[in-house]
This record gives sequence, structure tokens and C-alpha cells, in this order.
Amino acid sequence: MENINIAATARTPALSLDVASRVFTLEGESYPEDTKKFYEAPIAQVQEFLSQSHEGAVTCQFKLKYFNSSSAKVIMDLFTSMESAAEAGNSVMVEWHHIADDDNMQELGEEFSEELNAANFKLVPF
Amino acid sequence: MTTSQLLNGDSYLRFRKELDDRGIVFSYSGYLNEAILTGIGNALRTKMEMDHTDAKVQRSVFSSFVEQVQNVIRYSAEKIPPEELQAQEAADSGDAAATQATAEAEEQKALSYGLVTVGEYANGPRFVTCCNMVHAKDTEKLKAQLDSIRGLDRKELGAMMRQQLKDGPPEGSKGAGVGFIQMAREANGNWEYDIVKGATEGFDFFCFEAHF
Repeated sequence: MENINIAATARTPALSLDVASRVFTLEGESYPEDTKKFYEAPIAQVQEFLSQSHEGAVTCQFKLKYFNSSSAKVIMDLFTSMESAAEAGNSVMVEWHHIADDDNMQELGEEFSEELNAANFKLVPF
Repeated sequence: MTTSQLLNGDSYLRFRKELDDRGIVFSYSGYLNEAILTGIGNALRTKMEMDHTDAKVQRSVFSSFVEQVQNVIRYSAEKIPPEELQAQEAADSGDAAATQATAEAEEQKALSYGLVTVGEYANGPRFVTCCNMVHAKDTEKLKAQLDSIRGLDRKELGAMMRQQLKDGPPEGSKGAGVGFIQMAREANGNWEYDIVKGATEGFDFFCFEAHF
């Protein structure tokens, strides 16, 4: 599988998958003009990656400053896939980075983390 | 001194004063698309930064602005569908290829009529308000959707959002179906709506406002 390395734009986040180190990162702001068009292909690949069996731990980092409600659906789908990967026996760490004083973003992370049971979850203020 | 026959400066000054009296700092009325969302959104953020608006308020106002404008773009009943725009462009350019754009590009070309205002009530909260025409046949469903989230607290709205995201978008939704829930959550329940009869039969005028 190839790495993903999509640079951020004003309305779309940086999206990367490093296959060798098993790190997925979504960073920046997410309110794409066309959510499906932006996310469909890379998220399908990330989900494919998560569905595989991995020797070492998989890390999923969310470092979002803002996301709109259409993007929330994509995040929920990713959380579901990450939990499935952990249930299948992988070691999965989900990191939810948020601006230190952004209670709203912190609460959203906590809300999404309710979906996780087998996967580990960590809030990381920055 | 008046040099104009049609243009009446005083009428525009009165228009401007009415906006000022209502505390409106940003206003747009007309056809909206994603490019206009980007443009006004950037200006709104710059203005709030210049005013040293509290960072949390800045984030909430911007978030509500994006959700509401995207609602207008998606659901306004006054919409110029992409086919009409393309037919117009093709006619203008005489180029038949212009009608063969991709589906994604077509969606980006739609124009939806709506009103957007952002401002601050005298000694009161900031507001983000959007209004657009809806088909009267959809009004009851819209009311039911909004009434179902009225009075819910932040925690309840968060749980509802998560459930809705898991269940998938409701019928007729063009997004994730959680825009109103997310806005109600960020406004801590300080939001309201009003729906009045439109001037044209079969249309109602829907207004939504979030306070911060």
C-alpha cells in the first residue's frame, strides 16, 4: 500500500498515512466545498489499511482546529473503523489533539471516544 | 445636490442605517455559493481578530456561519440548478462542451438565494442569522426537526449528534444531518427560529438565528 500525503488548504485538512510507521494524521480545518469528493478516496484507503493485520501499534492522530457537520460524519466513520481494527486484534491508539482552551473541541473528542472500547484514546491539548 | 434620476443616495443611507440600528455588521442578500461562503467567512474571521473577540466566541460564530450558509446553499427553495446555469453558459459561448461538466462541478455551480447577517444586539449577544425560502410542503418536517432539539442541553445534544452520525443522514439530507444539532450545541441552547408565510403561494420564509 502507498503512503498518502495530502497538503492542507484553507478549507481542507492535511491528510496523511505513513504505512511503514502505521501513523494516520488529519490536521487543520475541515469544511470542504465538496466533502465526498475530498474524503472519499483517501478515507477508503485508510479504512483498507485499518482492516489489515499489523505487527506494531497503529496511531491515528486528529489535530483539528475546526470541522463542519459534514466532516463529522467522516470522523465518525473513521472512529468506527479504528474500533474494528482494535477489535480484530491490532493495537490502536487514537489521539485527539485540541487547542488547550477549546472546550468545544475537547468535548467533541470525548463524545467520539464513546465509540471506542478496544482502541485506546488520549486527549492531547496543544 | 442631486444629479441622479434613478439612484437615490438617501434611500441607500436609510438602508444602511436600518442595518446599523439592528447591529448588523455583515449582511448579504442574494445568490450564494461556496465561493461566497469562503469570502465572507474569511472577512468575518479577520474582523473578529481585529476586534480581539474572545477566541471561543470567534470559533463558535464562524462555525455557525459555515453551517447556516451551507444550509442555505443546500436547501433554499430558490435555487438556480446547475443545468440552467450551464445551458446559459453554453448559449453564451456557443460551446456544447460546456454542458458536459462532471457531476461534482455541476453541484458547485448551483446558486441558492438566501440572506445572511452577522452582528451584535445592543448590550446583547452576537448573532448569526440566515433566512431562505422553503417549500411550504416541507415546513412541518423542518419544524418537527427543530422542535425535537429545543430545550436539550449540551451533553444531550452531543449524544444525539453521535447517534445521528451512526444512524446515517435522514431522508432528504444532503449532509450528515447534524448541522442544527451541532449549532444548538455550540450556542448552548441559545438559538431560535421563525417561519412565516412567503410572498409566493407554496413557499414559506425560514429564519434561523444562533446567539453567542
